[in-house]
Amino acid sequence: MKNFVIIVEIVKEKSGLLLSLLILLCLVYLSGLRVDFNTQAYISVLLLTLLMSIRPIKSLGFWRVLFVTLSSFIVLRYFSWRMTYTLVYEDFFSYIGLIALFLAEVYGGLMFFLSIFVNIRPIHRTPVPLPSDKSSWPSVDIIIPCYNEPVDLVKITLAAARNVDYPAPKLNIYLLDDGGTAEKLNSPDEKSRESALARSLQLKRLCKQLNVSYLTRTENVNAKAGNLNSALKHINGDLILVLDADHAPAVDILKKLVGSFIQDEKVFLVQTPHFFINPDPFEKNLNLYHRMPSESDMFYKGIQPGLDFWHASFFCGSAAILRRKAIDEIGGFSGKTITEDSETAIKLHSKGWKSHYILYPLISGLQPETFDSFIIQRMRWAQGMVQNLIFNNPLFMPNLKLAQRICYLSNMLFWFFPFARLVFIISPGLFLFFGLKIYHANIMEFFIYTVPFLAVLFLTSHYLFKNVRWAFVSEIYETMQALFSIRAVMAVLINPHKPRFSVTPKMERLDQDLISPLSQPFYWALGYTLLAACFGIWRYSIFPDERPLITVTFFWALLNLLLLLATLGALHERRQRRANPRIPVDIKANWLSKTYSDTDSNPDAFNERRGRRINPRLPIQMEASLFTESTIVAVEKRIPVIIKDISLGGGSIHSQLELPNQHKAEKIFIEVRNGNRLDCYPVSITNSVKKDDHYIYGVKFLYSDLNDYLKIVRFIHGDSSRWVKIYEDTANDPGLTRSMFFMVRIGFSHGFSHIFVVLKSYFKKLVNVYV
Amino acid sequence: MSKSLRNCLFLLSLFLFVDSALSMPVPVASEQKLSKSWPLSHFMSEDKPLMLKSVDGSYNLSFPVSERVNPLSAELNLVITNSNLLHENRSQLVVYINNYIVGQIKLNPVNKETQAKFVIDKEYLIPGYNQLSLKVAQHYTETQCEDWSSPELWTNINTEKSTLALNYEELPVNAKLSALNSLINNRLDNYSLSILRANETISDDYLYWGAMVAQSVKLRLKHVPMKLDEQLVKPYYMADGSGKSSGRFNLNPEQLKHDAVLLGTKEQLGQLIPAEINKAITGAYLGIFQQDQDKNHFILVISGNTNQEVKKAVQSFALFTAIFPDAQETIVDQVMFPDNAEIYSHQSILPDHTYQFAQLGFGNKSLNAVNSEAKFDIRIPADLYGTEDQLVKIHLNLAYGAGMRKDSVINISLNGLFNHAIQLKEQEGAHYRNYHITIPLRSFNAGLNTLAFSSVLKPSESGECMYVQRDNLLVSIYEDSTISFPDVGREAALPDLQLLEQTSFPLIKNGSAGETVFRVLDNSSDSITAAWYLIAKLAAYFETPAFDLNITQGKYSDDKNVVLIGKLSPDDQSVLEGSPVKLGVLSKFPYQFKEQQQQQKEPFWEWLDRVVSDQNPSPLPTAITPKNVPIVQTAGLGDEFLMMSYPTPGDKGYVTLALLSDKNNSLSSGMETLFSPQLWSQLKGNIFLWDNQKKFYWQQEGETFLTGHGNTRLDMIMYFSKHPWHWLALILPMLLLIAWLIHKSLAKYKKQTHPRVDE
Repeated sequence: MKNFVIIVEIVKEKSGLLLSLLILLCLVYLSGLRVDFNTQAYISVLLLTLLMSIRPIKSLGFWRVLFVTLSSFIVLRYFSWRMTYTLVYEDFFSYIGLIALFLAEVYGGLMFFLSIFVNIRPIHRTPVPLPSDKSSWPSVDIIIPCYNEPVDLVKITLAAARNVDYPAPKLNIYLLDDGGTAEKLNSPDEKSRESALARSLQLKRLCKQLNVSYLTRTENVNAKAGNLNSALKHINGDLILVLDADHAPAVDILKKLVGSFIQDEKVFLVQTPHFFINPDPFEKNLNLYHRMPSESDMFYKGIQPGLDFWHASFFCGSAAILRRKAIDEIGGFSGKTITEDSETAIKLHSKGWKSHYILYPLISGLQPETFDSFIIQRMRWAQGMVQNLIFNNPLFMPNLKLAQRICYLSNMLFWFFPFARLVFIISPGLFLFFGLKIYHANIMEFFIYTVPFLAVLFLTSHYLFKNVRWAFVSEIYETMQALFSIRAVMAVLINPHKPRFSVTPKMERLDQDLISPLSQPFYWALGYTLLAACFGIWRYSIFPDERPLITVTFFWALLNLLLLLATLGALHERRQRRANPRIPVDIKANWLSKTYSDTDSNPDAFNERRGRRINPRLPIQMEASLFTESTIVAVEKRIPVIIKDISLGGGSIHSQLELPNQHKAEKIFIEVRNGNRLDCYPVSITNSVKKDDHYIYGVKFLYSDLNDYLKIVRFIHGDSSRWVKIYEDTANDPGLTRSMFFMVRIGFSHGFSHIFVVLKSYFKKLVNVYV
Repeated sequence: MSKSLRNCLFLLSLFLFVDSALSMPVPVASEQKLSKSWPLSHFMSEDKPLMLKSVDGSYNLSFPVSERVNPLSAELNLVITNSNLLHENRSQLVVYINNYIVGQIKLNPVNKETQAKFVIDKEYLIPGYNQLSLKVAQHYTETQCEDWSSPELWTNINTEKSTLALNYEELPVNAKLSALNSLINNRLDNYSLSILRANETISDDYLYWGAMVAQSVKLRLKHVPMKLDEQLVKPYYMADGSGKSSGRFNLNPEQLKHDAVLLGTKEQLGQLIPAEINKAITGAYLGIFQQDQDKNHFILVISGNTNQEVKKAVQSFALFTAIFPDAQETIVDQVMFPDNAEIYSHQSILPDHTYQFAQLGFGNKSLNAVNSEAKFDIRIPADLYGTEDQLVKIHLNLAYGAGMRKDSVINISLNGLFNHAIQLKEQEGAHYRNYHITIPLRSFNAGLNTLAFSSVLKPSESGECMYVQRDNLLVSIYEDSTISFPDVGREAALPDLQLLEQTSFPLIKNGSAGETVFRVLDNSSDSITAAWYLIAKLAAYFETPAFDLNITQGKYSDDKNVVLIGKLSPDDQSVLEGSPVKLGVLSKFPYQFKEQQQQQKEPFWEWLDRVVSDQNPSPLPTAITPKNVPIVQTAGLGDEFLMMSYPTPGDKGYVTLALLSDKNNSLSSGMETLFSPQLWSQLKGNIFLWDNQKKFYWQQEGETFLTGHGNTRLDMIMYFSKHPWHWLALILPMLLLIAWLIHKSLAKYKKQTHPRVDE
């Protein structure tokens, strides 16, 4: 009787869960019923209509769940039909193609379900305020691992770290230089040795100037994880802020993030998004930067908040604070894989530690500028995550919660997309070109099963990620990476220990437009798809019985053609002259002119008088106009301007009035209100142009000493609210159809531009040979 | 001659006549010369005129000559109409019997109608099937070259007016069990058989024995109509009071007009059979004997010491399809049925199975310009339920000759309906392996389907002044071609008399009647015979006897399909519970009144499919459902017969089939009429009325239900396919509910794990 009562209690308590499971089972069962065309057509149309009706409703609650439930049912029905009725053996080769396509689709379906699980209820945490008693604030070590990044790049990050607003006694900054290890300094290659030595000396000097501890080690063991672990012996703060060498933190990064650790002692990680101030090659070469959400937005704005709901947001290697105690518990950062970040996170999650994700950009970083660098970065991610799947499989990792297992599985399995993408590229040709029967469906089935399925994929993706990812963008990115990542993933599958950590090159410059040397595989893919499309036209005329199927496959080939053209567009590398990317802003400022009574415009004499050269590498004219307190201002003029973009090098300002020419005794400043105070940044005008009713001026920041440099870095990289605004501005959604057509247009125009350049260069060579 | 002499001669003649009549009641048949005549259409599959076209048109048909007769001669009377443009001196019709020329005539263009008589000597005739070939040579010029396929080259033979007559004399019965197959098939007319019952009491065992005999005979007769005559026989002795019979069997000669089967245990037959036979019955006994007074007919004794032995004997009779044993009588010791339940009747196909054509009775076939059709039958299970898109796949292995015109084709038709074509476009000829053809499963009917390949072969060269080579017009279809059926479910909507007609479903499934009980409503021979007719007819579809049938006059289990057959007793109206038609003092019949019309709107998807693929037929016409008005009245069936099928009360998924008459001793004749091809093929709906003049009426009344193998999944598929809105009504609330439950669970989870995070 007692047992019965207990059972009744359990049933009562779990009645909702039991009912849900029961209905889920019923729905899965019903989704497998192969009803007639009409019935299937009715359900497809009805559910799609409902999905279209729910789409505009902005809700994270019931409507979102309903949306994914309805779409899941259509996807389930599709796969039920595919599995039961379309896997027909015709001949050996067709069957191989058929199974490959089906597996690629199954992968897509699995990722669909994992994705909707992860993203069903994203949460948006707000920064937890710090207590007023500063003595209770934990101590923080900022660690900046670097390897071979340019010193100028590291300098910005160090300066930005120095600018971080936190009580000085509780803040220590460390540069972890893996490029200055004994191993590097004693490299058998003389050139490398000298380069490492020079770089090391520069960094040590810089660290000294900025009051940053320079740490290095003997050997470059375990790459980044080894570097971090080596530093752990020298640091002892309660918390660790990890920053990549190209991730300049905002001044308020600690004040925004540390509160979470005080609020909950089980929190081991507070991760923030990686905010990038330069375009990736796709955005740059297709001229899409700031016209649509960045590629990383989908992960940082969409997926991480979803993971956070399930306590599965994970460490992304930088822009995150970790609790030292937790790191020590697992013996430091994990380095078995080349993605030490997610590996460390999964281990800590399995120990019961919690992670938080705060969707607030607090660092400004750089993305790879060229396609080559982009591929190096993505191959590392792909290899690392596949290694993680092998070594730290979330399905078997002890103590993880089910939701966490699913989330990690989703993140890791994502990187198998190259296989599916390759199959999707090859498949139309298998039918149109070789006549293999790899998809057994008539036109009716195509319209009532396949079309709703594809529509649901697009609608759901758009619904879940409408402000962070436009239509076709995922497909283009995947196509770009697929042909290279597939080899990387295969290499890991063959030998999981093989991959080595490759640092993504940053601050690269391109003096002129060029065709990426990685383009060749895409020419083959494009040629194959084009040929398949041509064969499709031929088949259409020869096999009237197969026309419906040929038509559908032909359009599939056309879609692939579009993706490949867009990829080729991205492979047409546009020149990149600025080392420091311009950041679009809209800051009200003043052009400030000060004329001095005691002015010596001779720079050399001026410097002699000062008796020092702050930065011997800076151009003479820049230092010649240093702003000193000893001068006496005779005349001061202000003209309101708007700063439209800025970078460490300078920026552009817009003015309604024409700015007067600079006289010898005149110093020019840009005056910006920063809270209650007015900051002045010395500049020189480099160029001007009149546009419509206003004037546009190019300005260059002038700085004389480290304080000026810190001030300018603070101005450029220190204000997180600026990143938030850009984040908000780029989160636009023109709608599924418009974004689709936009991408089609962009893809075609840039793809053909690439082809045109290649053909032009080919004909030039041809002419040179024969003339 | 004097008057007294005339009177004496008359008396003498009268005496001699009476004397001979008494001593020889039936004349010896072998001395009788008999004749029988049929229209030519009797031997053709279709009732249509026979048209012989082109230069050398021909037509073959087969006519049977029974092994029980000695053919003396045959007469072929042809009524011919030929083209009036034929050249008389070069046009003729030649008649062949079994490839021997037996006659020829010139085709006269002047004659409006020519009547030609051909006498065929007995030497040309063989027992069994004889091939009659009619071949023409037709020309329209004397010396000039001509087009061999010119449309004016035709001769028409009126197959109704043209006759074939057979002159024959009957042969004495070869009283051997090995001759049973040839004996039970006179091939000339209906086959009549008397089933003789020795016991006044009609037991269920006897009903079973008779049913087995009826099935056995029907299976041997195939399409030849069977006429049964059930009689109670009593020991019969000569009227002279001597206590002696007129022959070996103590049977009244008046009851032995046809071949006869004497059924009963040894004890029941004891006084009817000779002592030596009685002595020979030591177990399950089968013995065949010439009838005492008519040596041209046999009497088959099926007996045993017990009812079980008789049962074993009748089952053996059903199985004796080979020419073994070569003996007059035998005792059956064991009948060893296979114990494997997964056995199927001949030519039945199963879902998800592939068959070679050879396994379905299709041997290697070569088609040419003249013999242009090859076909075979497939039996589709009655309850095969497939979705619209499921396809039957044919992988043809075929070869065709070189030098044919590009528009030469093989037309593939299913049940007479064109379905597919293969263009023979290779000038050099070709040999195809696995030529792939698909036919939608739903194009197949439940039951017997005929898949036909007909070639339309044209020579590449033709013209008036050219020798046209036609020997190259050849197509071979190989027996190792395959046909594959998709994996589908088993489901059918019942009641459906058409389905019963086509497949015997659901009363006999795959040759088994185990799920059906046949109840004879009264004990008249007429009703018993009617039941046996029905059982034999249903079993004939599967070409195998239903050994497991249940037939009774009493109570029966309600977890089976029920067949009620006979004349309904006024006291037992309860047996018709749930029936759409009631009979009795007051009858009830649903008359058609109005109809519900519902326009079948073409769904967008179908429209799209039609536009894109250009293959689907036009949109569905308006769906018309009759709305009947039942009228209760005093009058009833009269001379008509009623067949109705309805769900058996109790909702167990069974049907009841009632075959009823209102008069005594009429139902068996009604059944004979019903089984005529003209009437049997008209079965539809669930109520069918007919009379002996072959007038009929059918209609549907009441709801149908689904039956299958208890497969809920199939039931649901079929139901939701027919009721799409119900499907939506089920799915949508479930999706809403699960979404709401998930939403609530997520909210609860969030509250528990992220209490400080705002929405």
